[in-house]
Amino acid sequence: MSNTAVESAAGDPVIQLVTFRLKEETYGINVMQVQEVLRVTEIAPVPGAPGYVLGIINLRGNVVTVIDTRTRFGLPTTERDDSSRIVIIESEQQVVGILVDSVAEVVELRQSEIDSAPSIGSEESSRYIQGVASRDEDLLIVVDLNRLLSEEEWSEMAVF
Amino acid sequence: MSAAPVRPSRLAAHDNALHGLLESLLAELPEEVEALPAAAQPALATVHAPAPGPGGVAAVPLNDQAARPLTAQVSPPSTPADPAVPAWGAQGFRALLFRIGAYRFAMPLVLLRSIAPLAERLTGVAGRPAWQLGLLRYRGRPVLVTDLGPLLGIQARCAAPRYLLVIGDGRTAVACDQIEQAVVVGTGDVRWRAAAAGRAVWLAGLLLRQMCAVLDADVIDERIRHG
Repeated sequence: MSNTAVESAAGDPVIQLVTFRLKEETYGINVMQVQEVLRVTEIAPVPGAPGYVLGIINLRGNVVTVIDTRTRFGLPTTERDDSSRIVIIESEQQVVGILVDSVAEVVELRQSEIDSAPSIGSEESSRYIQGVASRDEDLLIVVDLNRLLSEEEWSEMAVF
Repeated sequence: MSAAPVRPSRLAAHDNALHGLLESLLAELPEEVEALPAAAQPALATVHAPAPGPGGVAAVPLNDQAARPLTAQVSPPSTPADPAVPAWGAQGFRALLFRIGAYRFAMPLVLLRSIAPLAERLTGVAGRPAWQLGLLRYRGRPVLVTDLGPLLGIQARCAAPRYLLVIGDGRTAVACDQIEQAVVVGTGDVRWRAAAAGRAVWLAGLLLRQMCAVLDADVIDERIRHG
């Protein structure tokens, strides 16, 4: 993950994360990979797309594929509501949208605050978890967007 | 943390479950150690299990106390099966008895970092395997809380975790339903796993009087770290 330092102290860069909610947990992604956050509009389904692809949206003339993050993370799906958002992200591969329950805030963390908890992210099903960080009373789960999909899946995404 | 009254139906379920587990565990142990000389089995001395502080953690320096070897121990009976006696068990040890579901386990105090009541909600990382119950911030850093049954491939399931047994370097923990007591164990009170017993290396042996598995927390910690 190419975290961008906005400040550095003794080689410990500060990174900014956009946090969002999925189920009961809070996740964070590098703010530099977030292009914008949209309210949920009409998502046109694409026949033959993988199960985690909700469909496509027209973003100012550009077609953007929207991923159902809950499905991708192995969480139960839920009805979209007023809090639901599509976060437009730019990974190393391409621009996609990820549907999340809600977007919370932008937080700053020092890189050293991100702890790679034992075994977290080692499983295939949680490989996109970079680590966790303590925030107030909760734990923030830091996501590496570049690992959200495999290379093959990113390639597959390009055809939509 | 004293044991709650157990109803007859639960006792029956426990007996069945315990029988099944011990049968499978004993199947990996050599038959030669079946009969241990009664004279070589010192009486087990019960010590009080530490009680958690109100709303917090029982910050008991378990390792400091448990690391001291016990005196006046009986030498282990020699067996042709070459039992794998761990270093912490060579001269007797103290163990904590706890329950996960219907099963009772013992964990050497020397391998136990601390005991903490599970008072906070666990943070569930999406996509986690069944043996990972979630993460908990404990003493300022995330601790991975695990369900021992799915981790080890045994039937025990921690349906309502109430306590954490923090092991390893303090970043991994085993959830349990109930803490029972700490006991002093002489080497003759244990049927150690055979050195060539194979796959169940997390099983250090069996406590003969309590008829429960003695867990090697270091092996479990290692397994957690490698998924």
